[in-house]
Formats: sequence, C-alpha cells, structure tokens
Amino acid sequence: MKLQTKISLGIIPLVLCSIFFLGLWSTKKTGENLHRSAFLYMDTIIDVYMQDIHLHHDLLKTNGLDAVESFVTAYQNQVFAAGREIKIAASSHLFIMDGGGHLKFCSKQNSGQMMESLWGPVARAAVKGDISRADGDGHVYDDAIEIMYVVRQFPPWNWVVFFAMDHDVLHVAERQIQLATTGIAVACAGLLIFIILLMLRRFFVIPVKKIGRAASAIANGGQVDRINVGSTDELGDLARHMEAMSAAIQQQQADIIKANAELEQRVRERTRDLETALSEIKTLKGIIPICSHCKKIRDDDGYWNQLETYILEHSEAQLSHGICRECAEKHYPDLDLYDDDTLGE
Amino acid sequence: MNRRVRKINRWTLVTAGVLCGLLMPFYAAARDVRQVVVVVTMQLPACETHLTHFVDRLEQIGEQSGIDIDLTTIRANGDRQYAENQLKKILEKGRPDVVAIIATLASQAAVTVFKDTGVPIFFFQVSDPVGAGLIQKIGEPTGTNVTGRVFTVPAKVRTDLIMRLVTQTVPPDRPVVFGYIHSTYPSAMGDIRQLKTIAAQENHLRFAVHSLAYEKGPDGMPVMLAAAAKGVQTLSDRVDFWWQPQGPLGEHPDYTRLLLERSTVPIAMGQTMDSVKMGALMQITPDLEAGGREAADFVAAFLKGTDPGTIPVTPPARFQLGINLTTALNLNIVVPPDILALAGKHVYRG
Repeated sequence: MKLQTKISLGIIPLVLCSIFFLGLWSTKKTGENLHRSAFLYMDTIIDVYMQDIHLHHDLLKTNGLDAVESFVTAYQNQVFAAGREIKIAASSHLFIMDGGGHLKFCSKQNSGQMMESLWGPVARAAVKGDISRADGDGHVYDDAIEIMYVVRQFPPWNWVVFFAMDHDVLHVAERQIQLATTGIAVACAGLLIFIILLMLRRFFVIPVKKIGRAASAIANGGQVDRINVGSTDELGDLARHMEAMSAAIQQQQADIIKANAELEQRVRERTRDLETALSEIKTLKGIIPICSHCKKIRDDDGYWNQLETYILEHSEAQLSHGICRECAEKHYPDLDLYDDDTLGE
Repeated sequence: MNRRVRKINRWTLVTAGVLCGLLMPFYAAARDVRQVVVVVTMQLPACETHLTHFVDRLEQIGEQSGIDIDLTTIRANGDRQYAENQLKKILEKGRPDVVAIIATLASQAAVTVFKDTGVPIFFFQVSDPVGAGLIQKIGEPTGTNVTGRVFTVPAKVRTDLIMRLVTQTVPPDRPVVFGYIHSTYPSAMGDIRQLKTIAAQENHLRFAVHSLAYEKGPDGMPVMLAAAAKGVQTLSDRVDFWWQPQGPLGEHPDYTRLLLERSTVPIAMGQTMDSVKMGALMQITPDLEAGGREAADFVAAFLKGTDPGTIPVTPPARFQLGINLTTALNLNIVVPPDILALAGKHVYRG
C-alpha cells in the first residue's frame, strides 16, 4: 500500500467524524438559541412599542391632558398607527387587549372574536398577575398550533400588550438549519478531503518521487545538478543535500581522473628521461676513437674534441683539473708541487 | 562710600523691577482691549433676549466688557438713519474691531457705513438678509466683511406645522384663510412673499393680507397699531386665523393684544413666545439663546482674526416651538404628540 493511501485512510475518517459531530452539536445549539433569540426578538419589539406607549402617555400626563378624552383617543390612535408601522416578522403580530380581554388593536387583520377566545384568558390572567398559571413558558395552543408570545401591561390605560409569533416558524427554521448544516458539512468534508489529498500529493508524494528518481540516477553514476523540489521544508532540504552529494561525487570523480592523468604523464616523462639517459650511457660504452697522442676524441661528425669536452657533453660527469705527480715532475720540475702530500691526490 | 552706593543701586534696581512687574498687566491689558460695537434695531423682547445671551456668552469665553473688550451698545429705536449716524460717529473716532448687529434695519445701516472698511460685521435676527440687501446668497461664503445667521424657520415648515393643527377645525372642502396684517418692514415683506409662494403652490391655504407703512422710532408703534386695528376690522370676517408677521410690529405684545381683543378670530401662528403665552396657538422661531451665544462665538473668532468672508450665511440649527394648550382645547384641536414633544417646556395654558 502506498504511503499516500495509508495517510488518506488515517485522515479521512477523522475528518468525517469531526465534521459530523460538529454539525450535530451546532444543530442542537442552534435549535436552543433559536428559541431564545425568538423570545429576545419579541421582547425587543414589545419593549420598543411600550416605550412609544409610555412616551405618548407621558406627554399627555405632563401637559395635564391625560383626562382630556379627545387627546387621549387621538394619542391612543397614534399608538395603534405606530404599531402598524413597526416592521415585524410575517408570522408574528402585535396586539392590545383591555383588562377584560377585549381586543383594542391588532397589527394584523384578525377576527376579534377568535382572538378574544384564545387570548382573553391570558389577558385577564396577566391583569390579575396570574400570567404564570395561564401559561407556563410563553406558549399557547390554538387548534394544536403552538404560538409563542410575550406580554406587557400598561395599567394607566388598562392595556395588556401582546407580541405573538407562530412557533412553527421556528420549527421550519430549525429544519432549514439542519438541512443547511448537513449540506454544508458534506460539502466541507468533501472539500477538505480533496484539499488534504491535493496537498499530500503536491507537498509530499511528488517531491519524494523526484528525490527517489534523483537517488537512482546518482546510484547509477549519473550527474544530478538540480532536483525540482522548490519547497523549503524538510523534503526541500533533502533535495538540496542530494544535489550537494551528487556534486561532491562528481567532483571527487573528476579529481581522481585528473590525478590519474597527472600520474600517467609523470610516468611517461620519467620513462622518457630514463630512456634518454640510457641511450647516452650506451654511447660512452661504445668504441670511442681517441687520438693516441693528444688524446682528443673524434665525434660522430668527425670533429676532434678535447677529452674533457667530450666527456662533459656525453655524460653527466663533472671534471676537476689537477696535475698528477709525474706530470708535475715532468712539466714543472722547478716547482716542488708535491711537497704537500695532499696535492694531486 | 562705595559700599553704600552699591547698596543704594541694588535697592533702586529691586524697586524698579517690582514696579515694572506690578504695572505690566495693566500695560498689557490696555494694549489688548478691542472695540466691539453692538447695534440693536429696536427694544423688543426678542432683540433684548438675543443681546443678553450675546453678552453673557462673550464673558463666558473670556471677552469681558471693560477688561478684554470695549463693548459699545447702540439702540436704534427702529430708526435706520439714527443707527447710521451713530455708527459713522464711531467710525470717525476710530475703526472698531467687530460690529454685531441685531435685526434688519440696524444691519442695513451697518453694512452701509462699514462697506469696504474691512471691519467684520455679524448680523443676527435678520429673517431675509438677501431681500434686505445684506448679502448675495444664503448658504455660501460671502467673500466680504459681512456674515451672519438667517433668523427664520423655513416658511414651508411653518405652514406644514400649522396646517396639521388648524385643518382639524376647518372643513376639508375649502382652504384655510390666514389674516396677515403687516408693516412694510423688510423682514415682514420677505416673510409674506415666501408664505404667498407656498400658498400659490398648495390649494389648501390662503393669505388675506393687509399692509401698512412701517413707522420708525418709539412713536411709530402706536401709529402702526392704529393702522393694524383697521386691518383687523377689515379682515376679521374673511379669515379663519391670524398669522403674525415678522418684524417689530409682529413681535410687539400690543399687536397680539390688539388681535385678541379686537376680533374673535384666533391667532394660529404667533411671532414670539410671549404671543403664545397670551393666546396664540403656536409659534416657532430660531432659539434666541442659541442664536445669541453663536453670535458671540463668531465675534470672538473675528477678534482672533477669522475672516468673515469665509463664513457662509446659514439658517440656525436650533429652534423653539411654543404651544398654547388652552387655545388648542378651545378650538377642539388635538396637538399631535410629535409637535407637543417638540414644544417641550414651552407648552402654555391661558
């Protein structure tokens, strides 16, 4: 099994498992947070609306108009108009009931009677401060349709203000998130595996193959100037070392060849010298015509040379002149050259 | 002997040093005092309020009258010629450092006297500076020694606001008719011109106008009020509401009194906060305190060398809106919450 396959078999299940559990965890968390966010959203909307109601009421009260019916009615109508203007989710609605459970305003066109039968008890419970008994966790059920809501009271006008939202919207959203998460997880896993394999091949398998080919070439005595691994990682370093090793081997081989050549040249020169010397020694060993009187020697060209000259030219001997005892007595009888015992010896 | 002389010399030097130290601040202060001239067109509440906040602000920012600046205040009593004469006298004595002008007539006088002198002029409480010939264009640097602030709320804003109130009492099948009795004072003329332009564009409001000649000086007001009374008599049967004009006549408390006493027609748009207190349904004007303070800031900047020609003449940024709730309740008008909120503390009864 190839190294790439081994690594892939190790990594791919790990990636798949990680993404699967991450998707599972995020889906669960999303569901929880979605519910919490929905309530936060409803709280925010209703609180903003309550601020508007308080503002209108405070204006009336500050200016002593809270008992002037024309002003109160006009300002309440302004509040209703403001409620219609608030941008809220399509599946939600903002409405106001009085303490007796009668509908005063709804941001959607709804049947007042239907609204009152469902929400009237909640409104009455809210006024009594019994909201927790009417509803445990901010949900009511209308023909098995689950509805989430938040409620606020406004005692000066005996109002109970609701903001309600169809819970099914959350379920739909949750399912959409699950589907989206699964799709994204699968896509991510595929992409991740592809990227891992691509990186493994690009950064590991291909460089190792290149280095292997280079090693084979070096082993076969070839020259490898450049291994095409451009990375600066360990494989890149190995390639550079291999290149250096190849260069060193080549250099050593060149040095050996050069040394052999030099050696051969020296042997050839020495042989030639020996041959020359040998040839010269043979000449002296041959028949040398010499004058029986003056002792001059005739060379190959027929010239007569002094004995010393001939010897100097045809041998490596060096001559030192002296006078022998007999010649001294013969040629220099007046001189007593041999009084000194060492002279001529 | 020498020792005694040295001692005397030392004491002389010390005494001279101390004296120099003590006198130096007075010397320096005397050199730095600059001359600021303020001209108030007329002794009306709005002008006086502007002046008060202007002087207070100058002191706050370290330009105290008598110490840092020599502040000369001229009250022109609505007489442009008088203002011009007074300013000429000042100019003859010496060139002032800055001239600040409250309201239109005095501003016209100052621009005439100080034209081409390079003396910085800042006008405020002028509702139509282009019509009054003070500047060429609103919103652009003047390029001259004159700049200021426009003292008006755009006519369209005023008509829109008032129509939200008065249309509650007038049948929708006919236009609301406002009676506008005004003098030929420049700002009043400019105001009615703008209002008539809007009325011509929109078919749900109309102005019935009675014009009278502007009379200058303290003696002029009774004459104008008498003429206005005739206007009230003429227009009362033809109008739904009164609209008080800009300028000295509209700002005078006796004018408000005249409209309230001589006719049963309510005042829809007052000109001052006092007129609202007296019974006008509503008024909206630039904030007098903010205007006075802003003018002081500009004057201080001119004293430090800012060129007035680089400052564009723009409308004010802050406004005051007043509502009389008793009038509204009597007319069965519900003041919308946004208008009531804008009025803030300026909601009056009575």
